[in-house]
Amino acid sequence: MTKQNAVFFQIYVLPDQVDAVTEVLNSGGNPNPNDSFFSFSKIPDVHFARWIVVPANEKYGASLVYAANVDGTEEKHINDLVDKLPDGLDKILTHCKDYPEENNRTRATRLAYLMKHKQKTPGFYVGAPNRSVSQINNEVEMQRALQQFVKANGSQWKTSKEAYAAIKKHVAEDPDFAWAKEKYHLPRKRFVKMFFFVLLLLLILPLLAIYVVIIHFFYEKKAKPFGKNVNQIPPAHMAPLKTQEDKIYQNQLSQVFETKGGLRKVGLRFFLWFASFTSANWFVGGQLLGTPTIHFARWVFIDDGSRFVFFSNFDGSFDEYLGDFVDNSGWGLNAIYGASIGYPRTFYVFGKGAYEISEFMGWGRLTQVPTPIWYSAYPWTGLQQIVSNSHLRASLFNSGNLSDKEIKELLRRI
Amino acid sequence: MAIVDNPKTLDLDDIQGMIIRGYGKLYQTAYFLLKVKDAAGAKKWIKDTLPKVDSADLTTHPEETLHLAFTSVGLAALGLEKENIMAFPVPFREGMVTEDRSRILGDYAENAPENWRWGGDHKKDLHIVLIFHSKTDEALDTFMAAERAIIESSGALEITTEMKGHLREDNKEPFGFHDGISQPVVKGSGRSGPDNDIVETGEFLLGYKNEHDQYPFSPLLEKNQGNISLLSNDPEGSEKKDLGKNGSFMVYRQIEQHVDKFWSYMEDKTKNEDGTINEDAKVKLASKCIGRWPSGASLALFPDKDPGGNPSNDDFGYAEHDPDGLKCPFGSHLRRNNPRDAFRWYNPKQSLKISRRHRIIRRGRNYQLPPKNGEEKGEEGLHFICFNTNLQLQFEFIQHAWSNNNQLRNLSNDIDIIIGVPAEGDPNAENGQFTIQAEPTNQFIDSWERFVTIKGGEYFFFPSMSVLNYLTTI
Repeated sequence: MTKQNAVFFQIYVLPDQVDAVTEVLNSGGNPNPNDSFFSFSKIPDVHFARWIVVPANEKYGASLVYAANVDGTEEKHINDLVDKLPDGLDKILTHCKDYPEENNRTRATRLAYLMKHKQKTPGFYVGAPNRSVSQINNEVEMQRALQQFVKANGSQWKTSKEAYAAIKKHVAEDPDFAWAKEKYHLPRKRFVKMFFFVLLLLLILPLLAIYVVIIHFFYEKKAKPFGKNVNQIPPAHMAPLKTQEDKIYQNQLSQVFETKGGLRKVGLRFFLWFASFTSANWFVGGQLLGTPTIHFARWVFIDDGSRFVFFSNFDGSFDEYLGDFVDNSGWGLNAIYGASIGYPRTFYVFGKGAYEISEFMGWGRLTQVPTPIWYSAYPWTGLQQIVSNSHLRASLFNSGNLSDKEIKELLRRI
Repeated sequence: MAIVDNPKTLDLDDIQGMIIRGYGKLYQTAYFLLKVKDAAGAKKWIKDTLPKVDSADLTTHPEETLHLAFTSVGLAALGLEKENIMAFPVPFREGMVTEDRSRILGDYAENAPENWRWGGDHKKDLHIVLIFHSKTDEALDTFMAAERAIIESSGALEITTEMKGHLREDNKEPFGFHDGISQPVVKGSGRSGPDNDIVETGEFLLGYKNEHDQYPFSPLLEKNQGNISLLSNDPEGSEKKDLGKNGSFMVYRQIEQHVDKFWSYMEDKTKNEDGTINEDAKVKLASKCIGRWPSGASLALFPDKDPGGNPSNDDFGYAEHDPDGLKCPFGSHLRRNNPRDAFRWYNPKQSLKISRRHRIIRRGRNYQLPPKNGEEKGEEGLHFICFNTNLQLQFEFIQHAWSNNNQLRNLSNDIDIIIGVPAEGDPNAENGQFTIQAEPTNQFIDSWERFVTIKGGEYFFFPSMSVLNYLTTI
């Protein structure tokens, strides 16, 4: 079973090279085409990937951030980068601090450089866990082929059982479906782990309650929200973001936040751990707190923890995505992003905040940075499609006898 | 569910009529697109026109009436200061045609704004739309002639485009389906309606709370000009004056409907095995695509055949009557654009909460142009007009997230057969299909063409009566 992993680098740019590297990245493509100088299609294990420029602030210089969601290990991916995109790496990283001199750029020195800059991803959500890029693409093809079969033969079948038997026979005989017969099961909720998780939560509940009260009275009262409605964002800030949106079925979001200090930072680490833990053990069925459009999302600290970034790869538009979260689980957003400077004022940590939707979207835009290079391996496939296809495949190829209800459910997915 | 009272709390006298009223007895409409040539003269013309603008006061029954709406360029042409125009929401400020908005709306290829009759590239000349309602065509012509004479003699405005529209007595749009059913009812308007259709005022009128329990973004005067005593205060308590209160944003798109193509497609897809036409199957397929029978009756309540008559009962939920889409397909025009109490797999309460955050009030009228040389029938279609306070989360959301989304619910490559547009560049676009949820297996109808073409469009500000008056003082 494939496990998707997060790869992340933060690399500081030479102070006088920020414009130059930005220009290089801008030529890389969002969405990233096959003929790009940094074409991710050369690495078939990549689901989504991006390069962004994190602007300098008072304390830290500008840096590049690289994030990829890949099949296999971090180390394998870094090796792939060095092997398949060495020129692209040089073209970008030549503008960065401590990158090997031109006469000293070898496989080994590039690898060492990247290994030195890799960073852990403390908050990670995978919308369709345990699926490789090739599995996702194969399952899309499978669903289409089954639809064609149903189109051609559906009128002959009187009952669900008859339809199921015919489809089952058809796929058993077709060698094109050999891959689907390999042992596979959908990711499962981990009840035991969650039991202990909930137990732990109950134990620390008093602490959490104290946290909520302290944050509410001592932090949020002093907080300075940006207070900008989404219609009040400077056009110059919006323009580069807008030109990169709504080009494929999916969109990307790259946000950079300044972190509030003290207890807020402790809380942030806790809630990111909370999000990551529940993502890995509970939200494995294609939705995060009711939002069913996220392929991959991550939260990573940068600049020694003084800032953090959020990257998401999702279906639909920015407005639809943020709106979806507000409709379903604004409190979760508040718990995490309340730690970012400028966030709409929250009420006892979980209330208000994101629920002030226009101000929340304004904050979202103000903390968003352009994503000059962005890649999706399956740009026209929505997350729910991916999830449904895997259910279809698992029940058709990897299950024993199905009940009548399960058969009906299977047929509905075609 | 039930029909419930909706007590009147709004100052209907201050609201332009069309937001609340469909003018079901005033069958004929016309639209003058106006360019302001002289601001002072134009303001005087607005002042003189105001008494002919009907308010939403339901006790009056005018024989004819006018309404006025403005583009952002138009407000600037009248003399509204730049700072005050910048106080409006972005989509209105920028207009319907920008690169990113065209991607969202699907305005490319045959729908490309370059090909539009009005709006789009002609934006700089589109300042005001004057909307006429009248009982008969003759009365409308007289009305138009009188107004045309006033406008022309003023010398302050130029009529750049004149268009006519109408409501059929049977309320059917050009494809032949009963239109205008299932409108949201504005809370506080005094109109009763199905519980689920009574939507917070702020979804349609600025200055009131919306379905998020917040005030929609409203243009507040940044720089005082004109007679500000005519304006309300910002309901959120800033000291600023609110240009938006009792006003709305109006989306106007002229949509050509390829009626013959629509029906010949339905006919081709449903022919009997011997090649003869199957009239019932043809109408049924078209109805599945629309999500209603031609009479307007719901598929969820009448799955097998059109009961005919007038639709008397629109108060139903999909969750109870059709959770699996076996009666009214998930991908039908109506169900996808107003999923009511069955959105995704959410429970009815959550579904309704979300549906109600994305409603619009539609005030569309049919049009038919005279035949061009050699044609049997002239172009026909719809003057699509709708009202909402948040263009991004209402009109644009519905078009992009629901109509143009080919992967809604369990669908794998189905856009709205009627108004959907596939994303530009989507390699699957040409294999688009319409899925009819059925047992034992779904049925698929493929090889679709598009049955509508956008011919023009713009976003307008639809001010309150007092703000109309205010605009004459700037």
